[in-house]
Amino acid sequence: MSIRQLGSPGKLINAANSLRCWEGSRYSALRSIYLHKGPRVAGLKRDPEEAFVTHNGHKYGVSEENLKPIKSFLSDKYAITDDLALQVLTHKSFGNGIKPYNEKLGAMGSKMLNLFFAKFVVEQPSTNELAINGKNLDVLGTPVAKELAGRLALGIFARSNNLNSTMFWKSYNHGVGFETSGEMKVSAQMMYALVGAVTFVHGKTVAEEFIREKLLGASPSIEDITSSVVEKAQ
Amino acid sequence: MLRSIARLQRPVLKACRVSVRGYQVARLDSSLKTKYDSLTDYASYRNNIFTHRLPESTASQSPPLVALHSRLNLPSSYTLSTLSQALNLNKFDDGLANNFGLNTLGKNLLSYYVAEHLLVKYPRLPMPIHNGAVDSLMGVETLYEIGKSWGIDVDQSSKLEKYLSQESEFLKYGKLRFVSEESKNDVKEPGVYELSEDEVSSLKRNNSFVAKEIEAYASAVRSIIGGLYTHAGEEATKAFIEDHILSRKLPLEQMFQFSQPTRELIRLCDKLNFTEPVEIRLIAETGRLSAHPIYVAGAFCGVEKLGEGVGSSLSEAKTRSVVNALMSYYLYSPISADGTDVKLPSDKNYKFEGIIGIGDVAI
Amino acid sequence: MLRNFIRRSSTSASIPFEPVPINRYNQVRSQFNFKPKKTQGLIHNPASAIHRPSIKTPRAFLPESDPRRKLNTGPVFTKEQLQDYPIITAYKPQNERDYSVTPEIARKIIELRNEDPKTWTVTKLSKEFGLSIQKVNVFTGILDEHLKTKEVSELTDRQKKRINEKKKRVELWLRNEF
Repeated sequence: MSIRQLGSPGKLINAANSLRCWEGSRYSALRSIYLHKGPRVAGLKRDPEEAFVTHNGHKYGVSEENLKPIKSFLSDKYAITDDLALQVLTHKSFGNGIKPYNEKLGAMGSKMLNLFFAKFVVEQPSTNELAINGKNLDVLGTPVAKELAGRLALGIFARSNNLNSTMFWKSYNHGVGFETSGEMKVSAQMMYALVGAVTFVHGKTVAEEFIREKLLGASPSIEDITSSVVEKAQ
Repeated sequence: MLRSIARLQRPVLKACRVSVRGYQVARLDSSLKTKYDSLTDYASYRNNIFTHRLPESTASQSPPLVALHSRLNLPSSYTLSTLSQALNLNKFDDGLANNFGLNTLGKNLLSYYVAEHLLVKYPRLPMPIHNGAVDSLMGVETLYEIGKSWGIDVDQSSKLEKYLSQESEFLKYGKLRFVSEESKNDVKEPGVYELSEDEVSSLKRNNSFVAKEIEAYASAVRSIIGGLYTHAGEEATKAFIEDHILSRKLPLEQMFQFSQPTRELIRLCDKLNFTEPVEIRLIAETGRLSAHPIYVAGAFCGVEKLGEGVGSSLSEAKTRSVVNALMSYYLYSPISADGTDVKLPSDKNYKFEGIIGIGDVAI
Repeated sequence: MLRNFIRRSSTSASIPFEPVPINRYNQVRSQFNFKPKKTQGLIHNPASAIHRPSIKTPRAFLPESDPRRKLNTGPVFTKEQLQDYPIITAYKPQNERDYSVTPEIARKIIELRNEDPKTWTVTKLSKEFGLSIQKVNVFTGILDEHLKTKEVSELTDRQKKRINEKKKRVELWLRNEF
């Protein structure tokens, strides 16, 4: 068996040139860059100046203006880095997902919130004779227990605390309402991501304190929002 | 199986009408006859179709229940009556509380610890693979297998059969109870499985079939975990989940199926802000003019090698090298500064050392 | 056999690279059972198989914070070594790509193509406008069209079988399976 080693010098083969197939190699070295603005044309690169700006004119990037709402909400106790804060604010739909976005943070945060509220609703001392070891499990599965960590309540919470004023995302139609445009969903995703980021950076115990202090302690608290949501639905 | 869901299809742009379904707020399950004082008075909720829990004295006389308790090495604070309740799925039996709440609690605990484990250990998994991995760790089929391996039996004999075989009445409290009294009397043909109405409707709804028995086992396993939380606290539950669920082998490497790997790799290098060109180079070859040539290709970015692949054609070697590069990106697992595993957010003295996934690329 | 030859290039200048122990006899075929004489000290003898992606992450993909980044700081290959490896395909990085096409040209291409697709084939368009075929394909959307309307009924059974087999093999490549 003969083996051609390409790694050793002196055995260079002329296949090198025949294999080379640079994209657009027939082009001259002269480069003129055209970055497209306006409505999308398939195959043309969009101008980043225009592509990475939200519908309401916020420019993507770490800036005081962009990060101020969530930084002040987090306070120094639960602070996260600027890059992470920007990732929390960025949704998958922004810039075709080329910037770091908050999907994984949201996955962590939603599980964290669901677990926290499941523990939260059963921890009150109860006189129910069906309670197990003092924990009333009958409340689990009821609308209020489910909606505490639900999208609607968190979306409204983000809006009432003005956390979703700067979010990097793209709707199919920004003109329609809070729920229909998807803003509620994206805001809730951002809230999940915020809780997820605190969990990642500070650990689970601190994240639980964070939920207790900032979500349950706010006014209107997440509990108030949830009960009004549930009441309205019934 | 997993592969079919594992990779994204090539996006096809269609001019379709956008139908937006409004958010559905959860509704109260009226069959449980839940009563409460006010919405947020969580202690006041009570499901009135259940009248009592199993007394501990009755539960302790059930041999399979005691056996299960010691087989799982549960702490002594975990009462037998709770364990028995975890095995009861019947809603309308004899007023005995069922495992609905325990199941929900167990599901939340499992979801969190499984997600945390995967998100920290494999921060870059694409979301479809992440979901597939969650499913293979705590999906119904897996929990069914775990429940079976714990030696849980199904209570299938009717009252008459129990009477005729002089079976102790306590025996059933240690068995999985989900078959209603009427269907126990149905004539069964070995090898023939008659679908219940629920199963037929679920088949129509999401085109997947989960047998009632499988769902029941999964529910029992989740409930046992939920019960552990109520009696022994979260630390013990976490240890239990690590021992029984997270210790299972997870074949992540076999879950990937790429559709356009080269395009994905280039897009990924864009996302990571690499400034060098991506080049696929031929590293070695043999028998180019023979019937069985072999080529070794490497995917490079500048002088850094990203992946390597062998193949019997140049295009095979090229594709394999790119797939290898992509998988080595996606399957990255962080280590701490002293070379050990990174800590999970729920661990004591947690210090963030890993990375947070920045999301996969659209191709 | 091949495995011994895959990794011939030295990865570190300081540690001598020795994929096979130095021996006077052909270790595979020789009937003499001499024990190989081992080199004293530290040598670099990497596994001759391709890395499993879950076991080792390439350095370029290690995040800044990873302690493994500090272990082998030198480049794995030098630019000169890479010259010996012929390029199969190369893709330009983000900042060097060609973005000279304006919407007018794009519109013109689509117009011509829609007017008379028989005359204005993709190859002809690419020559006319000095663009690569792939780019013209993107503008005209020919790829999607082509994929959708591909006729398979004209093929013989043998051809169909071959195509199917090839497809299955490609699936294996895409799953990193053999």
